[in-house]
Amino acid sequence: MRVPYTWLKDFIDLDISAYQLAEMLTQAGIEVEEIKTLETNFTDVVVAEVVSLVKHPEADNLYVVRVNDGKEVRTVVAGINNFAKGDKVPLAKPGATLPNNVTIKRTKLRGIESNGMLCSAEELGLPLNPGVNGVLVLDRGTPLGVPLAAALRLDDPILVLDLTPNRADCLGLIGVAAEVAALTGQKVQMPDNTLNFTENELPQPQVEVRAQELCARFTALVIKDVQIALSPLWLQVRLLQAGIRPISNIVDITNYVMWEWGQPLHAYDYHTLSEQTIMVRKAYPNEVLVTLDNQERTLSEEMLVIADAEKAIGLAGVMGGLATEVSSETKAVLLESAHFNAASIRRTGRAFGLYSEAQQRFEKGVDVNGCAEALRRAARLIELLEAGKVDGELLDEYVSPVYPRQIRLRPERARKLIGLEISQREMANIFKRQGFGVTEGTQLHVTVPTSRSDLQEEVDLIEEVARIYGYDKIPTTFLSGQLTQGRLTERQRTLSKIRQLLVSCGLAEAVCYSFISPQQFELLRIPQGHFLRHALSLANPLSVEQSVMRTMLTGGLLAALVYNQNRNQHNIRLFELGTVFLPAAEPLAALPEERTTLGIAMMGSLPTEHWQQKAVEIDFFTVKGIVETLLTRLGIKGFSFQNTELPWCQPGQTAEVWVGDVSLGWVGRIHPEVLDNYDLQQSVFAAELNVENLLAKTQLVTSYTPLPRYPAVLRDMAVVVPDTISAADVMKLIREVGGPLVEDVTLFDQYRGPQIPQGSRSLAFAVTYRDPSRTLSDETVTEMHQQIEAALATHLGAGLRG
Amino acid sequence: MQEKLNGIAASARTDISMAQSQEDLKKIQVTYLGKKGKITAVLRGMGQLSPEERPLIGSLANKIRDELAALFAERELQLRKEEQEKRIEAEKVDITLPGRPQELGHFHPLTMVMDEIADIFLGLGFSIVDGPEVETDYYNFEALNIPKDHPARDMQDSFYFNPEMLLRTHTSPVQVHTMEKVAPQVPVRIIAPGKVYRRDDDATHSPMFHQVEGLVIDHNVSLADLKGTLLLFAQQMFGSHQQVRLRPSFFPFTEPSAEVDISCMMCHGKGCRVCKDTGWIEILGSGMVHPHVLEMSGYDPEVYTGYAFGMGVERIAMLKYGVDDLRLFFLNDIRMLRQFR
Repeated sequence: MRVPYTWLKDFIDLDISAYQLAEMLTQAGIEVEEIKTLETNFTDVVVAEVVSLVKHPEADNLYVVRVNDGKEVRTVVAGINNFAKGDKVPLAKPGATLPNNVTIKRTKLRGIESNGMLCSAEELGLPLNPGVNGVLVLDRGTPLGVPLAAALRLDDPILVLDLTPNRADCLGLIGVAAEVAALTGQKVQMPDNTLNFTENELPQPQVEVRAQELCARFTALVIKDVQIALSPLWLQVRLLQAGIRPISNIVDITNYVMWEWGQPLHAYDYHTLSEQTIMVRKAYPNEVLVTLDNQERTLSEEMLVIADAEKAIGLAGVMGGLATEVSSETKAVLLESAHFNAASIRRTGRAFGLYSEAQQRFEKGVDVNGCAEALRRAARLIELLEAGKVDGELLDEYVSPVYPRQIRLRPERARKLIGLEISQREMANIFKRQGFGVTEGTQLHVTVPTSRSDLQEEVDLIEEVARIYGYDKIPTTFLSGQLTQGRLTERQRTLSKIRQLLVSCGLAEAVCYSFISPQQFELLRIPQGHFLRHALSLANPLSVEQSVMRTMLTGGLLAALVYNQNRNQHNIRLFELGTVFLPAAEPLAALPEERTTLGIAMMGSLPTEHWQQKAVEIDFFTVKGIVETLLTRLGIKGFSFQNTELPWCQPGQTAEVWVGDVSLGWVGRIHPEVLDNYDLQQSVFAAELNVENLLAKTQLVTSYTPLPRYPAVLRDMAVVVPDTISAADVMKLIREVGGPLVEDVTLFDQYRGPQIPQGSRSLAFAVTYRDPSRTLSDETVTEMHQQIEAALATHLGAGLRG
Repeated sequence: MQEKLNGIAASARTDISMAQSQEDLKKIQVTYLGKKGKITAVLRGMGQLSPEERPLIGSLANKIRDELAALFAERELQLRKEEQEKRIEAEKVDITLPGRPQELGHFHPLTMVMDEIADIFLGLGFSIVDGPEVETDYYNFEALNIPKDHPARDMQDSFYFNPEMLLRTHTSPVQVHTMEKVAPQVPVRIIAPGKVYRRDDDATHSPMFHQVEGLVIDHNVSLADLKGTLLLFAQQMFGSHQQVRLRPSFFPFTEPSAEVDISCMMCHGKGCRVCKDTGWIEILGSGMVHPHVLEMSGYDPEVYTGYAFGMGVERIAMLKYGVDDLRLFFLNDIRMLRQFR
């Protein structure tokens, strides 16, 4: 809402500057977003008076004009003569600049020197006097020599309000004035809307409200002897300040009154109304209406329309129809001031993508009791500006009357809720200043005008007290009452620990969007019908790229890798702890499962190149090692990695992580086709873990194992095994055979080479033997070591390597 | 015999003083004092001496042996010191060469901010609560006093899956879940951090962003208490000089409602680009829980009152770290992430 400061002063005395007013309103919750003025793109244009006007002796279409600019009389040559002696006109002096980088110079035109230029509105870049070709003729009373911007009040401050949706009352200047009155104690001065009604000359229209549930009130008035003309410049300028383009007097006045009262009005060309009938009804199925913007619109049955006896003539509260538009030919108009259902207006507007000023007001709420008053105001202005005369009575179909509410306010409750010692009298004054009725007893009974629809119940009045009294005067106190323990839950502590661990492992935390492009499934080679394709689709996404809820994290992380790669960053290790969305069924009948998931993706080499050490390429075992570290540090026991295949991973370098029969997720090398799809130039290794399962298996509480009292014996063992036997198989057997004596088995070498048969490899293990109850003898260890070797040979076909 | 011993002693002294390394010295020690050493040999030959000579020679030999042992020890210490000094000299490095880096990772700045917020409120006795990101219309709107067709739905244009389900537009639904779960017990003191979604995308809006919701319900909770809590929060988050300012505002689920400004940390109230010359920066919305909301979720508004607040995590992170474009938080540019520890 734009509040032109001087226009506001029509309704309330103000002895503070626009800036002070803005500060005051902002503090009261009517936020003033900015203070601006109309944009003017000219300099050195002043008001001058035409002293004489003669034809140019040498040119048929030029005129020699003598003008008084307040200091001197000068000669200018003009190309048009739409003005007369005594008229005030804008004079651009030599040196003046006009829009589009025009600079005015002293020039000779056909032998006569022109000392400036008389300007049209268009030349000044002002949308005033639309349709007029020629110099912008000003009111004769305009002071001489004054800069044009000041003369037309183009430089008046305009307060731009950023209103909260509950304050529809401030969508009109009178509402804003009432707010200012509450804050300053000044009184609102209402304009005089007295009308002299006369016997009607024209047939009085038939007004009928059929859709009574959507139209609480419909008031109308006929204006006869209409003389369509331009509005006076002061009114046009005010409309510009409001952000509305002036058109012609009748339409301008409806807009002007809307700005004052917050009540949208509409003017119909009376003679275009079939049978002088006007009704409010729902549209017929597929009824067609051409709106003011020359669009043919097909209506649906729930839309509210204004119609005459035959057809729809306007979208109620949204936009009028072209056929009944006021034109230069109009001789009589029907003015409408009505109240329509906000939700209905909103839906109709949305359906057509329209958001007119009228529509905004109806949506946010217009005071049903203001309809008639606004209509009177418009009629009064029409008569004052000699645009027409009232014909007959004001017609008022008030279907569902709304009365001012009486709300009880318990002062003690207000004091307790605000936490402020404020007297009952002070509370009462706050309401009285706004013109509310107040009955005082042990409680206050406040009568709230219907314009303040935001005040519905006691708590609203309490806010009103706090607001007008000033939030800044409320003291600062602190929580009291029973103590509570603030502590993270076990789940929260574990999630935080997971983050800590991954950061310790050198990974950077990423946050990707929860919505993805459905194309991601293609990029990741996920086949049709795969459960990961059962993703939630947004009904109204911003773009296809963000239209589906992710079912895994890897896609987003790969995109982040590409982003970095394209910025010449090649050693990237990322993780994300985020949610994936897994619907039980599509279409969505119940809320989806939101599964906390951990994603890891990395590429490049590690560690950072250093003068003492060479960086090593990240591989499968880098990411596997991180997952192992994570699981171990979370106290998860007995996890294993098993070969698996996943569409987005390279076969042979893909593992599923298991604890017992619970899958924790996967670790793998991203499939080369996926790399191509993403345009990734390096190998990428990734993992994704189901954090819910991880949490279920996490055991953060450590129990202490006493330190060993007897020494351990370390023996190496190198075996040659066929490639079909995994290292895990070998280690498992070593532990099985060694039983409690084997404390630890570590693989420290893998070797393939000339001495090893094709299709086999040598694996070297360090086996730690220990008996917690005694010192192991060499013989016992040797015996056990040989026993293990024998078992490896028998069960796994392993050969010893000397 | 005596002469021989003195001769051995003299040569030993010379040898000891000439020894150039600990290794040398060891050899010399063996030569003189070892099992087959020269002194030992003399002592072994004592049998051939007369009984009168024996004690004399014996005591001389012992004296010389002790003297030599002391000399060896002294020389050894000396040599060890010299060698150590040599080694230290040889082991000098250019200490300006870079150290071997430890490869630690980085927390996302939003995590850091949320952790800090959580830390402040945990210290005040608040608990942390989660809620779903996909919500029903009831929890996101209806239960928060935002009926269908309410103009406030405009403020937060939503992503829908169907007419009943949507991505939550704020963390406020967690208020309702919490109240439904614990009503009518008090006190309730929770914060709820999480992702929220709105149909907006430009330099200052992201379709996905993070909020932290706060809710307190108890007997006699007042707007003044809210002001006190938020002042404390602002001072912990941005520094002890911080001031807060409450401005009346509107949220359907609170009444009275307030926007909360903190004094601008860039210019300390003088006015700058960040605070648009006002000296104040808006950081959160808040208010007293609307009686309808309390009632719908099982608290009698005549008995209990409460306050709620909601803050944008990105906004706080931008202010705290001086990040100028919201979208940076979701690009995962390693050059940005690396700046956060």
